[in-house]
Amino acid sequence: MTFSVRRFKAVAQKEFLELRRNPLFFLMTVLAPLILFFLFAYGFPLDAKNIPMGVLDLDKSALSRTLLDKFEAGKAFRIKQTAGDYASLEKELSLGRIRAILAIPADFSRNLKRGLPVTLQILVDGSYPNRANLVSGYAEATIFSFRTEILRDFFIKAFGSAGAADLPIDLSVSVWYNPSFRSEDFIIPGIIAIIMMFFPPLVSAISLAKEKETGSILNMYCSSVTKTEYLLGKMTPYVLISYVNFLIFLLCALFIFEVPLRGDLPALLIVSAFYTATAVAMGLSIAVCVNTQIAAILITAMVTLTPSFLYSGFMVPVSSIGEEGRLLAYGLPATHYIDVARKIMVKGVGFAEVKLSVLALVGFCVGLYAISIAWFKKRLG
Amino acid sequence: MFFRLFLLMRKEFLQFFRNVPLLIIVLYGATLDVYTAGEVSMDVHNYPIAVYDIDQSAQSREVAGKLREPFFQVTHFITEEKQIENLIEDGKVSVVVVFPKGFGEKTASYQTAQMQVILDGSNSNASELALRYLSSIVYEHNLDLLVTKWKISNVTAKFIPYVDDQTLYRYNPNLIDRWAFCLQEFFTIMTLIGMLLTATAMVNEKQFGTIEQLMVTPLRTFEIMAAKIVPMVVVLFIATFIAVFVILKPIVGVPLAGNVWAFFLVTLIYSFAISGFGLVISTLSNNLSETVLFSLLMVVPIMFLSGAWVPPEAMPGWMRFLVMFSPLKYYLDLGNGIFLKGNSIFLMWKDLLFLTSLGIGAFLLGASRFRKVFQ
Amino acid sequence: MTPIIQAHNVSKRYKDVEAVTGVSLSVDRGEIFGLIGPDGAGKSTLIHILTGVLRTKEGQVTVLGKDVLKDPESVKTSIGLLPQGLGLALAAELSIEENVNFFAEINHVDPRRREERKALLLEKTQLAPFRGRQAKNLSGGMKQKLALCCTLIHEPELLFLDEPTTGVDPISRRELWTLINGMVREKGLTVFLTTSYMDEAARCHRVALLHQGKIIEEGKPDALPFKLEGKLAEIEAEDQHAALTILKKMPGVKIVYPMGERLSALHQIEDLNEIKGYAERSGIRIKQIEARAPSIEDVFLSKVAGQSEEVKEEVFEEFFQGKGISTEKRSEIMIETESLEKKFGDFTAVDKVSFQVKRGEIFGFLGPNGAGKTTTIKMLCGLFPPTAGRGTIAGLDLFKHSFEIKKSIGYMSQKFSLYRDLTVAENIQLYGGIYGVPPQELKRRLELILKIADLEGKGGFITGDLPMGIKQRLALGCAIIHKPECIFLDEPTSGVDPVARRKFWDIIFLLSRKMGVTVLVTTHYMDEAEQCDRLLLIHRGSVVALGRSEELKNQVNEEIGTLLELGTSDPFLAVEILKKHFPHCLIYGINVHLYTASPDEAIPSIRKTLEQNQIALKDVRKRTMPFEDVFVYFCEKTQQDKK
Repeated sequence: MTFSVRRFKAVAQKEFLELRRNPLFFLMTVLAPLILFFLFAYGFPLDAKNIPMGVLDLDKSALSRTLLDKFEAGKAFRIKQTAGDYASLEKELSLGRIRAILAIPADFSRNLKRGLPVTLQILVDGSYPNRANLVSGYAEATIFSFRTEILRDFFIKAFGSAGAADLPIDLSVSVWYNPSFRSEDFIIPGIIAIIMMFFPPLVSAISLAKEKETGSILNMYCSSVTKTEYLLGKMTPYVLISYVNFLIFLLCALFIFEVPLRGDLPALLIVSAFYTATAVAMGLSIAVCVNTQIAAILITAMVTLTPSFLYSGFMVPVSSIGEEGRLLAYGLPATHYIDVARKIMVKGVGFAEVKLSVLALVGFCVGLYAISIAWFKKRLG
Repeated sequence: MFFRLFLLMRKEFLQFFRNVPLLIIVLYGATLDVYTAGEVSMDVHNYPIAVYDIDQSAQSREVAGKLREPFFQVTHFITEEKQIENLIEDGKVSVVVVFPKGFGEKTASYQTAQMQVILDGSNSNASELALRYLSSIVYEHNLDLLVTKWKISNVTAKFIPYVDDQTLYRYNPNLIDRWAFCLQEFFTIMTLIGMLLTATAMVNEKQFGTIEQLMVTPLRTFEIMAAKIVPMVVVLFIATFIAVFVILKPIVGVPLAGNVWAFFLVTLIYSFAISGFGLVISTLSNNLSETVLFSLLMVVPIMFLSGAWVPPEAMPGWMRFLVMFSPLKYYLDLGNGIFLKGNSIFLMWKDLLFLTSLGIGAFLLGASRFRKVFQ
Repeated sequence: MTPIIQAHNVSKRYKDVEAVTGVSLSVDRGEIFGLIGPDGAGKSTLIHILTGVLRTKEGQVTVLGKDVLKDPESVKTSIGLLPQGLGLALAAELSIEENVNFFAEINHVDPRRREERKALLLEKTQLAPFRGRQAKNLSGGMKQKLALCCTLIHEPELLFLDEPTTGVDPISRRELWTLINGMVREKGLTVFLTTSYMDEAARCHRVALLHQGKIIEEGKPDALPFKLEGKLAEIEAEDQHAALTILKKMPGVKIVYPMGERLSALHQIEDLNEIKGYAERSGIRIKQIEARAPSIEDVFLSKVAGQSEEVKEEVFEEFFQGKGISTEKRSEIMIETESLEKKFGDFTAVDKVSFQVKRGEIFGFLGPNGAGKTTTIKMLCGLFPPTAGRGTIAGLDLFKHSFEIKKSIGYMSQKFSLYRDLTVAENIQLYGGIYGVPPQELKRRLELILKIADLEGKGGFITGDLPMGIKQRLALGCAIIHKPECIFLDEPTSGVDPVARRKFWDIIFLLSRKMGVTVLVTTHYMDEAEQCDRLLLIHRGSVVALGRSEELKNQVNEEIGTLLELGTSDPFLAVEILKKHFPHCLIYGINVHLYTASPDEAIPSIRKTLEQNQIALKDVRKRTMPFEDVFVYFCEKTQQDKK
């Protein structure tokens, strides 16, 4: 049967009206995504910030003070307790009030002045390993710069100014795109991708599963609406509303969180449209396969949100994920979208440079709709 | 009265055990879900790096050789300068190391040689981390070179004022990701299950109209509520028991350093707090799917504000304030405290107090909403 | 002419149940084909197969000349389906107009044509004034009318209606039928429908009785009754219930059941005096006994009921541990309300309703969908407090003692509200326990309730799997587990087939007559209404009539005259035409009921009017007024008064 624009429009219009008048769906499609976006965007800085650290300074010298000043200078650490005995520090650690203890030995400055090696002990709360890694990394970096200064002083003292000048390898660093390592630039395109992968599939899955569960879909089964018209018509309002949501996110990202947009805006808009349509199609394809709303909700939450969160490169680069995980990652639309969005926004590339990912997204989109339409039967059972 | 409470509770159990999908969710949540959470890694490792060695000297190769796993993985050796831009733009690598002509000669003669690093700042975190690793690798190398240089002048390494650091990890000395992830998932899933169980038990009555039948009987509202909540707490207990003694301890290998019964006490308090949230959800929704939806919507912020993903200290001030209202934060802190740190609950009395008062608050809110809607 | 539907040897099996077995049928163009049968007979399954939405491998189905099993899409532009369930087909958030427009659009109805048809359909169903109202805010009857409009907007050639009138009040049912008939007559529409109302079955051109997946009888509604094995007698006894009990035991009598104030008996006895004699030997005085022509309902009852167990009085005696109540106690007032009022915001759902119910009475509560019946019952049961007014139950005040009242009442809500996932016994035990029945006593009552619900030895069955009729009896059993003085039954028999309905009413009778339980019941079945001791009719929240059914009938006679029943060749058209001359003229079954103060003078003018319109007047009878006429009269009267 030929595709009738009129029937398609009728279905879309009806769905849109129902959506608009149902407060729960309004909450789900407009309000909840926005709230989550702000929660995540404000709360997801991945840099270490204000890590509370306890210090056991047994030396209490000018030199140990210099070291502590170094710790306090960066934004990473906040020294919580400089005095106190070990036991009370450990209690603090066990209660999670501090995340690390830095122990400066009593002979710290004496040995250094004598030209002897000293060892600083750092005790890190390991109950969150990735956080512990971050803490120790930042602590080591701080100690590293302190160590460099001490050595430089030593070499200057021992060999005169020649000693200092002659560091054999000098690292000259240039950072592209985001010289200040702002994590917002990195994380916000990801947050947009994740939220777009959560709500649109959920609402579209529910909308179809609900009709199947209550049986109200019988009328559609028994009418001349073709399944293509019906499914596409039913999904259109969700795609449009989600796309408006996306535009709001984008504006927030650009103007509130000051994420740059260096690349091609039309390219970003087009790719995002495909991504939105894909997200909706994921919900659709799930609802086509199940008969109850509960199943639709649970499977959607399991298939779309969780993997996208963990494997899409949202927080951890895809390259760091294991072999199997990486296969899964490339099977997720979110992976490709995050890649494209970051490249266009931060790196400033155009269509040509992201064509592979764009192709993948278009493939997902078309494929999912095709599968849904093929699997959908205008029949009971 | 006790007989009828008993019958009401028996009814809840019977319904729960006949509700196969719900049963599967609870069992899955307590076992497989907790287990698989440990398979995820949040570490950055095998970071792809490209080396553009123009110098092709022994010295440059030596430095390049130190850029290795677990953190780095050299995936590309570049031969032309224009490749750098391509590789970074495409995101194939995020770090490019360039050894300019004369690098070997200069280092061999202890002159300062340039080594260039180009970083992709769009991948901010990993790149920052990469820079730190790179700096320390280069620094160690520098030091080696210097020591060799001054050795000639009879100065031994022993007499260099070297500030060494030794990092020890408490509670999870080998930083096994699994422990944290599995525990975290377990606490979260218990929250979701607790909420779902209370809310679905209530909403089912609403959806099928049986609540009306109950309301015309001489049952008091608190009896109806108690009959819903007590079985939920018991089921949550069983789930906790399975998760702890079947998955977390034997398979995941969580040390269980503290008193496990103290943890069950905490779980008891926690389930009442959560049931309050469940009651609120049940008064807001009219059918099962709305309930699941609301529960998901409620769990995500509770999870986010628990401090499991982002440490509270890194959040802005207003969000830190909200953290105080996430029951999961206290459950997580208490749970981790008992399981990993071996704390006694007396030590953590403040967390316990907060959780209890939050629990009472949520429960009262749920109960009053419930009364309003169902009476 | 080739049939519009032709099904040959169609079977459908789900996992382990055979839903439809070897069904063959054919429906001609312009026919109204009715499918009747008990719950779970496979009616919906058959409709789904015929409309092509359910697949089956066995059999052939040709609809409109197309093979539906192979190519279901080919017929869908020309058919319409109204699925079972009130308002299921509609988009709840959309207004009446938007719903109709939607169905028009998906069927490519030309906009001008659409407006014309929409105006016509909405006018005929009296929905026109509510165009802008959202579907979710409509009453059950209005929803069904709208749903029918939606399925008719594209002028289908063939319409499938799956229980379109279940749960719909008599007034809306009439409107639905008038609309369907008009379409059949004027547009040559073909209708295939299922129904649990036998008077509707009689209006069809042909009827098939489906039982356990097989068609066991088929034919014209007037020919079908002749397939009955046995003869029918209509009996009027002094004590109807006692007569019922006795005659059930008489050899040669297959089935006895109450019909209005009389009893109907299907028997194989030559001489009716034998029956009379049998009854009188047992001390029952029979006032009148005469042979009666059988109806479709009789066919249904005899074919489907079989030899199922009767509800035994002894079981009730054992249950209540006694013989019920004395006569003087029967004059006690059990329920009393005075100007009871309920408002939801601006909307007055119940407006100053006052009535009294005596102990042991069966009090019928009638009214169109959305009249306020359920709201009133819910107030009496303490589900929500009245806005104003006064009310007592067993002397306890509704406001002050709502908790104490709960102990002495039983309630069956409109929606089936036992736990579907519990077993039968578990449900009974639960409710017994809630009402504080001690465990030992509970065990005893459990057995008896199983007997009452026809579930002896089936206590372990999952409640949700039971057939509808049995479920309702079980729900009634659970509602009386604590031996309440008074029970409230809200549409307990909606959608239940005639056989199961009879049994349900047997129990109501035993409870009221023998045990002295006060019963307040709502129903849309008018034959049930006539079995109530007294009736209350409410319409839009206010009382429009109150009294015994004869009293109300007398009132109707006084107000609009006597009844003439007219057999005509086209009753629906006849009503339309006669209405211009005789305002009190309505359809009843397949006949026209006409009320006039001077019947003898009216007959020639009726004949003349009908002849002018090419309608044959087959016969004119005087008969006793059916209660449906009373209902329609009072509702229409108030409607006009309000206008």
